[in-house]
Amino acid sequence: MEERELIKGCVNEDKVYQRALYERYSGLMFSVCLRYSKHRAEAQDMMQDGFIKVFDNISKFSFNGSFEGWIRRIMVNTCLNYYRKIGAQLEKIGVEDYQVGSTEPLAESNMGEKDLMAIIQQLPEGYRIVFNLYAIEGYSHKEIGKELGITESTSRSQLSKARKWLQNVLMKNNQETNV
Amino acid sequence: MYNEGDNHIDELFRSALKGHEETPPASAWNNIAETRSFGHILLNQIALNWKNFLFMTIGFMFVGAAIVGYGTDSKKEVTAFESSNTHYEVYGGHDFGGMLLAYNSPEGNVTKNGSSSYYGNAMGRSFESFSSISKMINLTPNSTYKKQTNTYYTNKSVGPFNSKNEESQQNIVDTKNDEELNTDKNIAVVTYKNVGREQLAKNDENTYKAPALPAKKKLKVAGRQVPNNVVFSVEENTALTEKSIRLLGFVPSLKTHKINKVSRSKAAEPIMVDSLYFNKTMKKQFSLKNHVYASFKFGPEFMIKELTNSSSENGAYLNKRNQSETSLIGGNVQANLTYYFYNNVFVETGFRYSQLRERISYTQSEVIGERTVYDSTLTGYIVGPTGDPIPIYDITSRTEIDKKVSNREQTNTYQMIDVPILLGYQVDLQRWSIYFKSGINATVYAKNKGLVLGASENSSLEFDSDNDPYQSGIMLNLEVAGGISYQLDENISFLLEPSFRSNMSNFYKGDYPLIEKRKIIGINTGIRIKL
Repeated sequence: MEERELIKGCVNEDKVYQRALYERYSGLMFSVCLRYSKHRAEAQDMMQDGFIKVFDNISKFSFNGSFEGWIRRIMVNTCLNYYRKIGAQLEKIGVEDYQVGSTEPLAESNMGEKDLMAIIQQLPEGYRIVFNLYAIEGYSHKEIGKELGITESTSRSQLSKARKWLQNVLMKNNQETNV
Repeated sequence: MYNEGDNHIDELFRSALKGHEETPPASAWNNIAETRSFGHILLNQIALNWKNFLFMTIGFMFVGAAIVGYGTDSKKEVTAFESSNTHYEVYGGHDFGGMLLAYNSPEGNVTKNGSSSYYGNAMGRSFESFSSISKMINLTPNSTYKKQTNTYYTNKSVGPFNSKNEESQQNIVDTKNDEELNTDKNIAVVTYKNVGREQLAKNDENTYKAPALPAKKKLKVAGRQVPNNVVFSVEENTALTEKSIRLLGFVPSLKTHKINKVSRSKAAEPIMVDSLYFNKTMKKQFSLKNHVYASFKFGPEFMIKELTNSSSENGAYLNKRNQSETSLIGGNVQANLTYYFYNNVFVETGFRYSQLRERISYTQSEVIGERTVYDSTLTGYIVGPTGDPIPIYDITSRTEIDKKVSNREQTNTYQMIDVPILLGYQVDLQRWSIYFKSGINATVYAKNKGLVLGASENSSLEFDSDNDPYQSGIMLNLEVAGGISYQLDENISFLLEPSFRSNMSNFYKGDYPLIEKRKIIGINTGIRIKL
């Protein structure tokens, strides 16, 4: 089924097309939500809310640009809203903790996607959101600051800490694997 | 040196996770479909397409206004005296066993004869005698007429009769129409052979005996016999022997007349009795009382199906059914008989043919392979002997079944014939009416085409087969409806009628795991005809 046909079917509230769209994108979007969540149940809630918004607003999609990108953006915004609703304290790590530092390149990481996903999910909330937005979605610190209502320097701080945290875990994992 | 924009950690995770897919739990889709209920979708559609809804509403209002406008005559009201420059005064009348003759006297040359008799004088000649004047007739605004010491102002040309008499007048008027009358300023002109003074026998020196009744056959309006209870006035500037007489109104019997004293302000706006009949712009209140009417209506209907499970074990099947079924717009036509009682209460019965529709969307799957997949989930870390974190993995295995899934669609139709028995009440507002009615209707015939999904995978229950889940037989429904009607004329009304009905019992056979009740919303338009 072509993407345009799929979208038009969803605009007409046709359940067959909605189901087909869900089948096509749910795997990818569930993965997006998993990255922002602590566990699968939370990710499921986020994804469900996200798809409801997609179906509610699909008639607004203008066919300019990638439809997958449009859905992904809705999912990311839904995840951010989720944390706004539960009152996540993204500012809890202040500027004073910010340390510019480097992370050592890993010789090789043999961890699978599921392992990396599990590691991301264990990141502290603030780190996790900033890391996802910056490293994977490609947001700038300015955009992150605007989305989360934090300063750019806080965003940088959280990114740095997230990277260090991740590097430690990865290095330990590598050492164990080599042993 | 640390480069924030080009970090190997970022790259590692980005390359691994950006396009990563993870199968969501099976319940996620069910939750999405349930949350997006009909009401949610409808409100969302209205919000998204509010301009279209606005245009539709305005369009509907224009169509309604056009339909209503068709039945409205916008002719200007013409009163009997509107263009008359002459200040007519009426001084007398005569009771001919129920017929009052009144005439004008522009000269005002009137001779009073005793307390109960007047002489009329037109163009200087007294030509009639009226021995028993019982009423005076107001022909013009701002006229004052005196009888003895009482002053009467009338707001009707034939005098304000009591209600019984007015009703009688209307009955007479209703037998005519304006085409049958030679209208002159909406006043009928008839020819009356005058009884001249010289023909009158004297009572004494000053009074004359009452003239003989003019032959009734000569009193005609547009060739039709005028009843003897017609009130006339004599028109000015007519020959003495052949008088034009103005038809003013209809009087059953002068002896039953009453003249009520009314205020001058009302007297300043005289209304002809017969203007009720001739005046098209006057809002006439139609009454449906004590008559039988036939109505024919049609319109769209929408079914809201309410499925519930008879036990919690059937929850999955209930979800499956709810997700697969979407109501579509159907329709109905109906023919009814309505009897209106004297107090605007009415009873209605008839036949309604309905065709409700729904779309069944479902998937059929075919297993094309199986495989075992091992998953490792990082569950946490423990501190190793060297103080370093050691990851702990939970290894699980599962069987993944590869299926070929195809989407299917089916449109179901539910046809039925109902017999409603409704009791209602109508409020009349001149041509407009508002009514409400409620009662029961019985489905006396039902035929279903299509299928519903079965409880097991890939199974379906087709109607008109041994697996048909619907029971046949009479179903009872509660019905509530309201509406507005517009009386186009005496016999025909236009109706706009939203309705709601809900069935009282389960549609399914006793051993079926689900309970189905339907609510049907519709809006009908049609006409009501007086029989």
